Amino acid sequence: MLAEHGPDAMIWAGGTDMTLHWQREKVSPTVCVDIRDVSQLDFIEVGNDAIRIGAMTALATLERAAGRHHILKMLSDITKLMCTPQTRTLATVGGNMCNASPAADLSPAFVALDATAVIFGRNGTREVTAYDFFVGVNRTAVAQDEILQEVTIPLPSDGEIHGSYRRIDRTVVDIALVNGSAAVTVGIDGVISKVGLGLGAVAPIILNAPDASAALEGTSLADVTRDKLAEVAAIAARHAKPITDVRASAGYRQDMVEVMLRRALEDAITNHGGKLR
Amino acid sequence: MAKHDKNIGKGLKVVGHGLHVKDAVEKVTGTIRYGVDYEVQNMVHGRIIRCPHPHARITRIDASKAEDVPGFIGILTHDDVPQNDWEAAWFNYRGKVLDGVGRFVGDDMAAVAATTPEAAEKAAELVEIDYELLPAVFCMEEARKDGAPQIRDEGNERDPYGVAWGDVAVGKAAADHTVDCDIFYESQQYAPLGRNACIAEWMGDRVNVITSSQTPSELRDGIHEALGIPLSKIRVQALPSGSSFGQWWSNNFMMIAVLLARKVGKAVKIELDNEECMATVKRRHQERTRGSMGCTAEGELTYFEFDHLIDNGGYGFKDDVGFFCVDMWGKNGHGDYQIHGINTNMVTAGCMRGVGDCTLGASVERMADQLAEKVGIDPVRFRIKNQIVAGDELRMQHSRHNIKGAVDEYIKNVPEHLRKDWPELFKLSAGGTRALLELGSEHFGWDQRWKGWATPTHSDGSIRRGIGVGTGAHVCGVEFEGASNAMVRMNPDGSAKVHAAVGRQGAGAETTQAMVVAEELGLPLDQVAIETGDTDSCPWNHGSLASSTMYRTGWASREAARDVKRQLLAIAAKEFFDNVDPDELDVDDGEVVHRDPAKHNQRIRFADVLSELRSETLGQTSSITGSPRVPMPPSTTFARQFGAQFAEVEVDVETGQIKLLDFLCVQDSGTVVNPQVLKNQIIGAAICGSGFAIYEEMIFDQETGALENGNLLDYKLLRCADFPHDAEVLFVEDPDPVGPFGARGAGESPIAAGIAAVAQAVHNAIGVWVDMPMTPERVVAAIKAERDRHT
Ligand SMILES: Cc1cc2nc3c(=O)[nH]c(=O)nc-3n(C[C@H](O)[C@H](O)[C@H](O)COP(=O)(O)OP(=O)(O)OC[C@H]3O[C@@H](n4cnc5c(N)ncnc54)[C@H](O)[C@@H]3O)c2cc1C
Repeated sequence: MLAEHGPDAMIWAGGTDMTLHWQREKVSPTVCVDIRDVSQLDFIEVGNDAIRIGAMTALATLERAAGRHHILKMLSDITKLMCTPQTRTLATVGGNMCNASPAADLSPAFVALDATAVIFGRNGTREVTAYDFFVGVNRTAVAQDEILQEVTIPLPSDGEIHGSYRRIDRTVVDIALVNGSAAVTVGIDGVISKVGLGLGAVAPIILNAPDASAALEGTSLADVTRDKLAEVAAIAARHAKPITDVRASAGYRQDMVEVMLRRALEDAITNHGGKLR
Repeated sequence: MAKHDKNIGKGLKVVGHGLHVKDAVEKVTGTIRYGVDYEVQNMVHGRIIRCPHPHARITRIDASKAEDVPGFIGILTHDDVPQNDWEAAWFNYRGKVLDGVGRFVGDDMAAVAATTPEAAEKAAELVEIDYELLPAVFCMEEARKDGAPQIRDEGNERDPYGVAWGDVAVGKAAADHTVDCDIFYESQQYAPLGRNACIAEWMGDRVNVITSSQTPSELRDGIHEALGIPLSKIRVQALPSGSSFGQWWSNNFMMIAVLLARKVGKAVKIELDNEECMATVKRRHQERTRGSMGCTAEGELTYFEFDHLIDNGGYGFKDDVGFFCVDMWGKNGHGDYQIHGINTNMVTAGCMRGVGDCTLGASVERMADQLAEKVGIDPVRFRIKNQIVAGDELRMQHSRHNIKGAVDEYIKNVPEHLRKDWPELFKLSAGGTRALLELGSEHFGWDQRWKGWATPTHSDGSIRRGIGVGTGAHVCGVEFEGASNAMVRMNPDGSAKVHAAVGRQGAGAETTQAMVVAEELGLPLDQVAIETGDTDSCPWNHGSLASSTMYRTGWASREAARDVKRQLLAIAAKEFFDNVDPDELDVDDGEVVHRDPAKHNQRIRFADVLSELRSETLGQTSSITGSPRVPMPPSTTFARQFGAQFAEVEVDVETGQIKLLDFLCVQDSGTVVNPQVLKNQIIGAAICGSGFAIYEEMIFDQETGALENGNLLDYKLLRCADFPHDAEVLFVEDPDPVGPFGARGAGESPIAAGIAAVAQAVHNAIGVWVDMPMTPERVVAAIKAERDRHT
């Protein structure tokens, strides 16, 4: 149907973003493909090598999955910051990704966790990394005749991954002014083997920071200090290209993304049992 | 003079009890109907065409394209509008309904009617209007200057409003410490969760207007002024408004609905969308205080000197805002306040809950705190030292115009014998902050928690906690615009109906007015119903504003009930109690009884008395109506309400985020008529005040003055979960000598107290004063500026 109707057709998942876009005439589809009843896309699967989250998983469902894996606990904590309890029963993980708001809450975590988006189209499925998934404000790698099927979060085979997400908000119901997420993998040898970072609301897309990640990778967990993490966060923050809008100034966003990343890194290390000096 | 009876509100049957509000079930089940929910048969829909420019004059209107929209019915332009000025209560609006000039982006320019809201919207878009652009001004300071673009025929600036007493030069000489201030306040938006709509329906030359309003009588007056038709031909049926805080009084869009309906000859409904509610109706003023204050080495205030600007936007016409901080800090012998009302090319500004108290009052609180810090006295003691208690003089009697003059005139017209029971004028009749501060600081554990000025109570990493206290005062309504009246009717079955045009804005007035009447008439509450919105059945009333409802309308409702009771007992005495003096009788639980059951032990149902009335008057009268029979004393000269609030906040000095951890509100509103209702008022005020202190701010485009955050995503209101769920409210009940059963006003002092408490707590946590709203960004900037100052 998407292919048949071309750009006039759009997916309707929870509809929480769509309703607003439609009202504000940001979109004007003539056909809405309602995928709310596609139960095959509503699942959370915890495997040995990956966690798979179906695109139609409601934020409320993700919220309740906290007990199943500590990474799901991290994501569950994020959903608690999002929307309102009522809206979370409608809003979906796929919708949050595909809406591609630079301030979305799950996206920086998926980028930090190095998740993969599985996209389904007429020729089967294809995969892109969460980082490559976001192309611009409200623009993703999903083509007109495709849909997002699921998000896959890889789990390390030879160690453990822990992550954290921090955001600046104003009241209990708010869009992040700026946010940051970190995921740290520590090998069985106690050495940090992989660091993922996600920076939100400081560019049209969710940013990562390979140079900052590299600055921490290879360090032994026992050697990580607060100063070291501050240094990593500072490197990462240099990637930010924030703007000024009614919510916050560019300068504030620039300063805060560094604070958010530093705190997220500190949480991730602490979650590993690391003692920060 | 009336003696001050401290037990006036004690041991009553209805008053003082936390009864459920009358509309609780309607609200919970969603059956209550607000303005937007209402419809009348065959009505059509109106849409207002808004000015895209900050200041412009219409040169041409072409509706030909709009006429092609299916369902289009007609258009109203300034050519159809009588060129009369109309005024809303307290000069919240003064101007013509439409005059072909737009004075801010979003101003009302014309309106179309069509069969559906969608068609009306489409047609409105297709009306072509050419404008001659006029120079615009957005800043108060600029608008005052010679040669500034003139927004109104009367000029941009009102005559200064002043209050002065003592001799400031003497006060300055006596000061050991002084502080100066220059503080700017951003506009707060009423941010109503409920929007509004207005339906106007003409029947011949009479018009019926259905809308949500807190001021039904003032709305009728406004229509009368705008159209020049007799008041008797205008009926306003005011519906509940939901939280209004002063927004839904009488608004220009209501006038447009009336005129559009007349033009197209059909009932018209105009419904505002969220953005229109926020960007085109009104707002709290932007304000700026400059001034100085001084005190002795012992911490006794010696003088106040303030120059305060308020921005009226396009159509506000106010020259004064809350001078109640003047009264509250009245131990001080010398003062001079000047207030200047200035028009700008921004959306109209008017009274919002705690007008002036939230701004000028907050400036005074901050400066007082700075003096207390210099002297080294803690804020509770500093307030106790310098704030008034019952019997002290109210400084506003020294007002340079208006109050003293208007009151003298009012008094002159009241015969001597009716004045003998009045409290002493120009002195506080009851209450004060001292008892609040004493009770509150004990309950809050102030002495144990206070670590000194600018000293956090706790600090850990980037977290700093601090405590603060703030105080607020307000009048309990005013008499200058007319005396609020109420009527009570007892029906043949003995039930009673109150007619008091105070609207229903969620503050519980429909319940508390009925409680007062039930108490006076000895009826259970469910026998008393109330009409709050229909101007055809209610006498003139100022409405729910200026914290007047419980006090001034409550007084009128009680007096009206007294009048009913007097008539009822007179008939009962004659017909059932052997012509005893009616004063020997009383009412109890729907029955007339003798005060001394030994003399007469019969109990006569009200219905039986009413039935007797009918035969007595040959069927000409079958119910009793009552109205106040004496004038109300000019309460502005003696009655005040007070609030003191204590707060603990947590500030993240890295991010600037503020969390509210603990809140205690102590309130003196005299006798508490309904503790549940009043608790809601106080907590609501503390939340609204905290929002003003930390987030709420209307952001205007620098070039056009257009509102940029006219939505609830970017206009941040505190949610319940942002406020401590275990916040407490304590009451100090110093009964008022005039108010119903000793009650006074309540709505506005608590918002001022909360703002000051949060501001001070933040200062104590981080050691810097931050201008409001203390957004994360401003907090960080203030901390950085302070650090830079020291390096
Ligand atoms: C009151 C409120 C508060 C909010 N607070 C937050 C918040 O705090 N943080 C936050 O991040 N977001 C927030 N949001 C935004 C929103 O709720 C989320 O982005 C939500 O997850 C979107 O999911 P949905 O299912 O409703 O998407 P929809 O509105 O149905 O769709 C969004 C977009 O994605 C497309 N789409 C959806 N699913 C797919 C798919 N499987 N494949 C391809 N395209 C698809 C749609 O076509 C549309 O363009 C809030 C929204 C509201 C209304």
